[in-house]
Amino acid sequence: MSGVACTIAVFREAAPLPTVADLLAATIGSIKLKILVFGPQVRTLSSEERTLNLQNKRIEIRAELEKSGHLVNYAEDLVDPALTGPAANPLMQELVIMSEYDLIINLVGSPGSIVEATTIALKPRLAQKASLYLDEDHIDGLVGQACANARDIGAHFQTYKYPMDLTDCHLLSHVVARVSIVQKMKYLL
Amino acid sequence: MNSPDSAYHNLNALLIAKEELLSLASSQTSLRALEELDYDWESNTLNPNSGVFQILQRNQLTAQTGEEHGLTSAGRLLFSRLVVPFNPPEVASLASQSAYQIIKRLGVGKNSAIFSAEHALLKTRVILKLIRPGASSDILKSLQVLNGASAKAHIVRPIDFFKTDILDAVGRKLTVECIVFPQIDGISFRAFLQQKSYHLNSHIAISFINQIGFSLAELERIGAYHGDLHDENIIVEETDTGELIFRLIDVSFGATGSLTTDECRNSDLSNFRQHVWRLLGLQKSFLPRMSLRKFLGTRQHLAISKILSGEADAFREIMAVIADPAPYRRYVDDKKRFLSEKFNLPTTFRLQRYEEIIDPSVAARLFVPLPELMSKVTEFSNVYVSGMRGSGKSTYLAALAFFPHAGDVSVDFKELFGIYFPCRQGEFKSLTTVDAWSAEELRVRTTQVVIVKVIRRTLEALSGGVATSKIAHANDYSRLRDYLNRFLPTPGLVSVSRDILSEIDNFVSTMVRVEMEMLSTFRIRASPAPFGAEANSLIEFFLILKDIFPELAGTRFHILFDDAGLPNLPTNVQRIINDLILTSNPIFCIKFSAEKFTFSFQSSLGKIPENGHDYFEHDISQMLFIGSATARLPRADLEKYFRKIVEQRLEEFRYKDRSIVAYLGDNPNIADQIIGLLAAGRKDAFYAGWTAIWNIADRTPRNLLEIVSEIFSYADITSDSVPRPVSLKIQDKAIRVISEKRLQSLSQIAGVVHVGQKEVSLGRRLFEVTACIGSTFRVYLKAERGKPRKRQHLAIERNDLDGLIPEAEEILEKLITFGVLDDTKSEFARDDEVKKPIYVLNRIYCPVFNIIYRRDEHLRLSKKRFELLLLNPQEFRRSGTKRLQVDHGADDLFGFKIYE
Repeated sequence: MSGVACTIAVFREAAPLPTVADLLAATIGSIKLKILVFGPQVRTLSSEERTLNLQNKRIEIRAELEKSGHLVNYAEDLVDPALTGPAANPLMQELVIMSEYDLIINLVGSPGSIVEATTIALKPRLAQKASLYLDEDHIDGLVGQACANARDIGAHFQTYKYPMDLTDCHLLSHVVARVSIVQKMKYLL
Repeated sequence: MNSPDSAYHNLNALLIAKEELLSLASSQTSLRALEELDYDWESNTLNPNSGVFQILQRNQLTAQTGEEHGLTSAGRLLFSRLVVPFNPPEVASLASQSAYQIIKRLGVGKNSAIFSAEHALLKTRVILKLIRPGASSDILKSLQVLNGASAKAHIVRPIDFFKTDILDAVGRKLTVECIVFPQIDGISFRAFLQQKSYHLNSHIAISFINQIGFSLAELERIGAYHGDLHDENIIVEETDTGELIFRLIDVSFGATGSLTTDECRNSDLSNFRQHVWRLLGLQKSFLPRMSLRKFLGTRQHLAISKILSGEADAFREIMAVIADPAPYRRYVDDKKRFLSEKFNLPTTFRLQRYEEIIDPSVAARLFVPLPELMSKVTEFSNVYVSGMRGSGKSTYLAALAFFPHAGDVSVDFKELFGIYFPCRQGEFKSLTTVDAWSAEELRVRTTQVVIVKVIRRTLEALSGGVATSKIAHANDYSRLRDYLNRFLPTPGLVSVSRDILSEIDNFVSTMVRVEMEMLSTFRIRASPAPFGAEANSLIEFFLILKDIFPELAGTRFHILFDDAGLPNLPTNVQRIINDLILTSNPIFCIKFSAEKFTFSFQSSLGKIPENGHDYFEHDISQMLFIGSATARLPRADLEKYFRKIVEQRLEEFRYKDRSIVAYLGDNPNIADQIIGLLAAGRKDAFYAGWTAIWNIADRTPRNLLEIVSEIFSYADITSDSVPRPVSLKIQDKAIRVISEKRLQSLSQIAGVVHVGQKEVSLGRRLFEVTACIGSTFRVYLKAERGKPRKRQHLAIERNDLDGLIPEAEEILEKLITFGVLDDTKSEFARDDEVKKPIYVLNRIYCPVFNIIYRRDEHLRLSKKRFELLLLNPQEFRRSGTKRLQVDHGADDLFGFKIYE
């Protein structure tokens, strides 16, 4: 038996045949993404329950993704108030910032995140890397339409059920799964 | 982490389109499913009946040759990504098939896996790169192409190549190509960016561009690319001398799978720009208040801006941008043009402040020192230069400074090396007290900043000296480097290539950033930097300079703080200056100027430096005080000194006649002649002629030059004008304008004083008191009308010894600080023969009050009356003059005999 064959034997005996995902976990996990997470501001936590839940979810999403080694930022932390001239416009700055990230996750609902979702709905290049999450109760409204428009030009758009999907962490799981599939794609293709 | 890859610009669409393929890597797919494909890597054959085959086929990853089905090159690559994880057991056979033994796996990528290994016999450490099947079509050819790159390129090249058999995850053998690279010293660029201290050298970005940009341009020139320019594939090495070397490793040319050459090149460009940007961004983040342009310097900023803008779409063009001097030349030319249009070189008397003269050589030529004072200021000792505003304090200090580019200098830097701080420009203003700090914390922090500023300024001067060849480069900078390292976190100073930045310039730029960082955190409650610099550490610094620069072996260092009073130097900084003064030593001394009552003589520990012991005060105005006493300057000498000040400018600016009298005329008896006219209230009392002018200037060169300048301006006298005396009327008009301007400018002085329970505008109060004093003197002069010998009041004298209340004292001090009153002399009072201070009105105000500049009489005031004058000038004026008007001929006003 050649050395190679011996090694095969040892390998097979030592462990049951794993899934492909198990096999590639470390390799795919080494692919880190730059991710922007939009949603309600989190500097001051709201006393209003719904906003508070969304704020906490946004914080959780960031923490969870950072735990996996991704570079996760809130756009408001990156906007430079010291800039002057046309560049002083925070929305203009966000446009530039968005173009520099691999993935944009938006918990659509707060005024800022609605503007950002609407902006994404007008920019196919941004829409192609954006994932928008909206309360299903709002699907028929103007914001739902803006998200649908974003989907039409390439965005990933998904609704969630409030409050269950937030409290049961379904939304977090969706986001983590989305990031994971992007990692896989970047590795395989 | 790289910039968003252009290959994934349609990310969401791709996820949908490739969903089936991606499912192969999901947790639902057992390895058994891949095993069923039964793929033979050697023969490129497989089982077309397996489910996986169908998926691969639908994604155009299979190929058919006759009856046999196999995988395309892209298919082999994708399949290898799925089933070849390069686990150690699977590559274990490599040792028996090559000269290398694997030590550990460093990483697995899309196209290859990297292992640390060593040569089995030589034990040399190497890096093995195992290429995935399908990632390269002809790797040997690619490696041969790489050999065409210049040896100067910082590319780590392969030293060996072999093929080896390994196993995939389902146990099938496959042969992979392996490239062997030497293992080099250093850390990855990613790790480098995480080291805090590297932000302190702004030239690192240029060095990075020069080294990595050039290397990539070389690859480009030979038709290659890097292909995987992430931050782990750039290694940074710091040499023994602290120089940074950047090297490219793991060149993936020809082994990038299905990516096209253009995609790889674009990826290199994008990654390269991002690395430059990250480097700058990180460095900038430590100095948030500093603009990138200032941080980099204009030359580099112009080039880097262009590189980052994306205009250059090849590395050849990037290097051309770096090498092109044209944009910077254009900038310099534009700047010169702007300066010449907006800031003409001094060709008139207009520039009177030292700081306004751009060229120190011109300033040096225009400087006319008073020899007695100059010799005292030049002596090695701590000196406080005081004097009225405009008396030339700054110029005396500046004359001692080492200006590398100045031609005509009055002191030899080999004996006296002056380090000059024009504090008026505000560089110390930000060091204000932070309430939350303890006294000790404030002292430590302020000391650190002051010490670093002195070191930085000294190094700047030395750098200039080296650039102008006045000072030769030191043979060995290691001691200086070691000293400076204590101001930086580990690993201390870093260098870049000497052709980018010399060692001494690197020290300067580093210390500039150390200082900027300190300043940016000065008001933040954080731990002070750990180096614990104290005042005496400067002695060590200067001793090193004396040792390593032969030109400085015999010099002594004079640290010059010009205009060091409030508000230019906050009190906590003044305390540190006092500490430095008290660090009596033979290596450096402190010299500073300040307006009266603006500098606090008290050290951090509360010790009060003594005049005559710890320092020497030299009061310019006092030295220029004229009189018959032996201690005073003879009138003729002062006139001669002032004449020289003006005539030096006439010569410098090439006027047709260098005698000022040729332009102004002279009447030595002017005071006697016009005092009668002034007393009578006549309108033809003209202040004119050289004697009147230098007297009205009142020992203040700035006043003198301003008056002469104004007269020249009114009379339209230029350097081409034929010398002839300006009419008396025009001279009078110009003099009165300056006098009026001086008076009005008092009300512009910022600040408040407390009178009673109220806050009163300081400027307004100074104006009112000055107007009151001048008007009172005028009333007294008018009272002289009709007398054969008229006497002029020009000073206030105390007729008792009682101290003023604090509110009045504060205003009196401000009047002295702002040069309204001069208290430099005390005299024996005329009533009680007790020596008391006298307060002489600045003669520049004489024209505006229609009085003459002679000091014949003093207005004697009691404590109560003096306080009334200072605290309620309107009331003082009303009650005083009323009595004079009503009781004309009376013998007393405030107890002063009007008629003898």
